[in-house]
Amino acid sequence: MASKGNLTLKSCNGKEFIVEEKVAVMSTTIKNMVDVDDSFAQGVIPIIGVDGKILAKLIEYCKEHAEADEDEEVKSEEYLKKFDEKFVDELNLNDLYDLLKASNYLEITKLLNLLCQKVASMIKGKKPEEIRRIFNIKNDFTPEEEEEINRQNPWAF
Amino acid sequence: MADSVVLVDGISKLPEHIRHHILSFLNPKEAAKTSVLSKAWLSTCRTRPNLHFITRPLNAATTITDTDIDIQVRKRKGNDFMNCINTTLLRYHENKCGIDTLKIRLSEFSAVASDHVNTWLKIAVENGVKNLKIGTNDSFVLPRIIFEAKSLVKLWLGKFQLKPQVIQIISCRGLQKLSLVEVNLDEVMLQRIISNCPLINYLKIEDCTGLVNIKVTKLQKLKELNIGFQESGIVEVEAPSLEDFLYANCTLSSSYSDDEGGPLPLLCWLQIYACKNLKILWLFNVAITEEFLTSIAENFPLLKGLTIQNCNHLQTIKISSHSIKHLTLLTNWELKEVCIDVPSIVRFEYRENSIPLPLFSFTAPLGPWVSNIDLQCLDWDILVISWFARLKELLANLNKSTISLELKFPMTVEEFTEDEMRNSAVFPVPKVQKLSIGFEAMPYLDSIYLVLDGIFWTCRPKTIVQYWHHDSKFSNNTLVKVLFEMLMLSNLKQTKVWQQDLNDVKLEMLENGQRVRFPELLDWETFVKSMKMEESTRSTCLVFHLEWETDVTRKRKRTQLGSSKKVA
Repeated sequence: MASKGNLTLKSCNGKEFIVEEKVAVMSTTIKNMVDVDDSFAQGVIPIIGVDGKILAKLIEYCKEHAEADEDEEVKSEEYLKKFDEKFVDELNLNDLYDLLKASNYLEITKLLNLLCQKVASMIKGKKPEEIRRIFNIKNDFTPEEEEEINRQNPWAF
Repeated sequence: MADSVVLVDGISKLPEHIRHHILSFLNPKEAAKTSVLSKAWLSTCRTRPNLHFITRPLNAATTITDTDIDIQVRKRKGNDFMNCINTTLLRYHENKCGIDTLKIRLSEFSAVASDHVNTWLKIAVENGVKNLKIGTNDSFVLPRIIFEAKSLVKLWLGKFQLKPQVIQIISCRGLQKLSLVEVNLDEVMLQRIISNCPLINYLKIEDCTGLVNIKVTKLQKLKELNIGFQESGIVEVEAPSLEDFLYANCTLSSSYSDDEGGPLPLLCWLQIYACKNLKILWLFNVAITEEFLTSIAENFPLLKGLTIQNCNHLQTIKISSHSIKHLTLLTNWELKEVCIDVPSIVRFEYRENSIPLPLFSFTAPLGPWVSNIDLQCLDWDILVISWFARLKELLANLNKSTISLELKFPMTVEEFTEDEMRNSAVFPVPKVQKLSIGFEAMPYLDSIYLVLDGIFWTCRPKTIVQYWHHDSKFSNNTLVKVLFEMLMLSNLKQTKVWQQDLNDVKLEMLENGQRVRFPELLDWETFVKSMKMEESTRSTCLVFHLEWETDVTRKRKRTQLGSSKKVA
């Protein structure tokens, strides 16, 4: 049972995390749950489809940013930028996808933006062949189809 | 979930809207390029809510060599481009795909009919467009659906015509940003739009025909206002939240003075009141009064940045403000007096194209603030001596700042003697951090000597930054040669009084961000040779580091001299 001001989050594989409410409500989804139904604030909030490893990562991110929102003086923008950089750099591709889905489901907008930006930066300035290799994307076009798409692209004009 | 096999194409399995979100962080071109990755990505690209159709602006170099064939090719491309917009938007229409952003910029070769444009705009509005930016080549009449679109948050229109019936119903009450560029509308229509869109926080009105006066008074939320005006009229502004205001009047006839002397009368007036939150004010060619400037602190207590450019009718500029941090004066008229008191200044920029220089007084504390002074003295029909005297006065007024000085001279200057210069010079000579010198055309050698002499009588530059062009035709290289002889070889013949104050000179070259120091005791031929070795198409930046005798070093020398005498 969480003490006052704390919430208990339960991952889909049964791991429980006790976190401060201000950290948990970085997620708009959790915020709405707590706001609407008081029983969530007392009991355990199940986080459907998110396992313990990913939930721990989410909480790590939210902790840093929740404190930052509260007291700007403690953590400078520069500090958070460095934290964010390190946070996304340490992720492997699978964790990146899982975090994308989880932050999307939990509506943690700041994190979702950060992760999407990370993926975008991995695409930026690369040739299609390189992008396919990085993300294991299978090219299911025939060369003719590929040429046709290139031709229709508004950038061809 | 986390332990799934690494070789899986996980990114293509993400929900489509996440992939749309990823694409929104790429520039439109790179986002469009992902459509060739796979069928899944093609579908993502074809449904993404941000649509950009922007033709590249014509390359200036290719326009000159335009042949009929080129024009044919361009026309064909222009039509293909238009068809691409058509098919794409029709697809969005059929599949009912949401559109957040639609940006269209047409090339001059797209033969667009107003029917097309109307269809595009209709689809955009039906699919819930929030951010719409469209510029056409012809001034089509804007369809009424635009101002009836409830979803609109940002609207940018280029070259449309507004008609009263188009804005009969205005339902875009959530509109926050509105830009009208080369749009034809009248004052009544503008008032109608403004009073029906109370949430506007950004408003841009640029080169709109049909407006004589502009009145922006009902927008409580307005933070940024940008007016570029070609007519002469009155701009009236009352906006309690306004923070950033740019007002440029581009009426050509009033920005240059005629030959008969005196600028043409300006008819572009500004009435601004109740803008207590204004932080940045930028005025170009606007008829403001001297009283407007003297009461600036009272009217805009939070003003941080002020730029006054080409407000030609002003004879004196008097500004006193505790809040101003950035002040820029760009003038090309015969200003008589500048009197400035700005205790919070961080950066002062001053560009003056006319002579004589105005009487100048500047009050600011000692501190880490900078002033960038750029003076052009191209019609030289006054006494050089008096010009340098004014320059010295100006620099002395700014002596608490780090000064960057850029000077441009005509190819020939009137002669003066050292005695005249000495008489006009009052010690101490102001220090300048960085100096750059230029001539309007290939100057006479005599003129270079005279100008440099005048400069060294007037100020003590710590560095002189000049460009060396590898193509020796450039007049700058002659200037560098004279500078080199005057400074580097000064030990040989100290003929000028200021040369005795020069303790040391070092020459450095900056290329590709690298600093290369030249050896001391270098002669001109070796220098030119070494520059030839560095030959490249670009120009090289040369920096002379000058160490001047200061009061301290002078005193030390004197005591040393005194003690050595005692020993002797």
